[in-house]
Amino acid sequence: MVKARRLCKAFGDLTAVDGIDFHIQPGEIFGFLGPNGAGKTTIMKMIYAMVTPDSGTLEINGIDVVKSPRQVKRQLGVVPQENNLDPELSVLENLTVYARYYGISKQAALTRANELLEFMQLTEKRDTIIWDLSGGMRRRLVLARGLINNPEVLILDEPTTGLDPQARQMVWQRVRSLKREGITIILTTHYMEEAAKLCDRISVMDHGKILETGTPSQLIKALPGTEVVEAHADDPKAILAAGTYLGEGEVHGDAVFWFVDHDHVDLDPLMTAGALQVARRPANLEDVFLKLTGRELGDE
Amino acid sequence: MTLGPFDFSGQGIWAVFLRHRDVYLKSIWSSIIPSFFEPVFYLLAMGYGLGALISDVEGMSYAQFIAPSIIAMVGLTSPGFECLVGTLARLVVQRTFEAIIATPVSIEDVISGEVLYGAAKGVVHAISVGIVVAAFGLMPSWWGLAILPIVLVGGIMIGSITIVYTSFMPNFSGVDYFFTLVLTPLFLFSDTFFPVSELPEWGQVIAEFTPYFHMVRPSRMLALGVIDWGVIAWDMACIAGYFLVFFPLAVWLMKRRLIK
Repeated sequence: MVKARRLCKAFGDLTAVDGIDFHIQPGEIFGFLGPNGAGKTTIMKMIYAMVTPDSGTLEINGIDVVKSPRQVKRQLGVVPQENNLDPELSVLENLTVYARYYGISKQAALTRANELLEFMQLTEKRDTIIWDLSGGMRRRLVLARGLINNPEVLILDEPTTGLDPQARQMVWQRVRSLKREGITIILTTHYMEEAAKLCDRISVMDHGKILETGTPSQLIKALPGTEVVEAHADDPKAILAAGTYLGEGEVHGDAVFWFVDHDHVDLDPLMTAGALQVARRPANLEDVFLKLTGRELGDE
Repeated sequence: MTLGPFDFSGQGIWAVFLRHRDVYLKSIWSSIIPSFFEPVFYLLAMGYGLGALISDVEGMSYAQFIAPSIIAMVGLTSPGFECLVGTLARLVVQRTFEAIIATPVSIEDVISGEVLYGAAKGVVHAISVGIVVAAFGLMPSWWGLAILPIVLVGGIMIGSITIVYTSFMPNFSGVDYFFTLVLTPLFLFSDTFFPVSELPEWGQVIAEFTPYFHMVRPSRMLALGVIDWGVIAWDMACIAGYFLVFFPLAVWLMKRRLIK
């Protein structure tokens, strides 16, 4: 569906995307997970032709994005990072005005807009001006707008950044039901939970490169252990030394991590060595990122 | 339609134009009323106030002399304001352009729509001012209606020139320069309030090369019904010339700014 080969893009001295390959299958939710500045948004903008690659190729349904941007954009729905709605227009008008850019007739646009408002639970806000919407409602409206042309591929650039947990849940639900309708969805996120809950496959990114691609469980299984022991202490070095019986640990800030399998349960020696807090938990995508980059996702 | 490095679509341009129209209709009065009163105040203060001290200009009353240029004025200020303040707001504040170019509409279509809309707004405002001018009995010829197409093509030219400037503006801090250093002198020295023949020789040469002059001169001829078609043809050719230089430049600069 979406195929990229050796994609590169630099802005001045900054290499934003550094020789990336990916191949997104029809109907899957594919996520780019990485910290801010990893190059995720640049990839999204390349797909909708707002950024032109310096080199490499990018095809959607076999159509080259650089050569035929109009044709490609006709098949895409785009939900950018920023809610760039028309503030002076009402909720409904935002959708019908947007439909015109796709050459959708007035009547068809109105029908589709009302369906989408229903789907996003915005019907009651139909005639409200954008200024008067909450953040979560604006986000849902941008999502509805991205669906106005019945796209084959939906691009969600940080779909839930800045939303409260409830609004986020709501967006996730909608995204899942879109997947059931067979839409191919590409999203970027720096939330581990979002990637784990929504995505069929994930590419973990850092500094413009894809470090690893796979299903969330594949990525987690590739870790040296299924569980993680995490200890926080004022002197993490001492805890690291005390924890050699757990295997080779890693220090990040005030925390020490060990990848373990089920049978290692005794955490008392760590407490004795002065750990303030010790926990054992299942390994997750956060650990995948940590293992691949040596940094935590939240780090800049 | 592909023209050199550019990709235009009539449907895309029209969709952008209609978007602006829809937003305009939301606040039509707050836009029409100021743009209506400003020229009317000029007409009263200059035409009748100052005009009382002036016997006549080129064989007509001073109010009659400035009336056509006051209609043409909205053909300068409306697209000038729209393609600077309006365009910049859509570009950097509301990010409307980014929203639009994620659809099949190209940035070329967006800029064309901006210019077309600025000019159309000028025409709408010229109609309202024209009605006042006619009501004062300052529109002796029916040819005066032909000022509207001049405002349209002139507005397209002014919009194109303005967007070239806008494309360099990171924010609103440079807006005042354009009004004070570009629009105001164009407005004051282009045969508007006094005949360019009053300017020194070098000033007359400069006036002949300024874009707005080519809107005022034919407007006056048409309003009075004293028409030299050769001169009007030359003025239209000059407007076309400005357009052909500035419009592609405006599109190219905006494309370079938005598509990285």
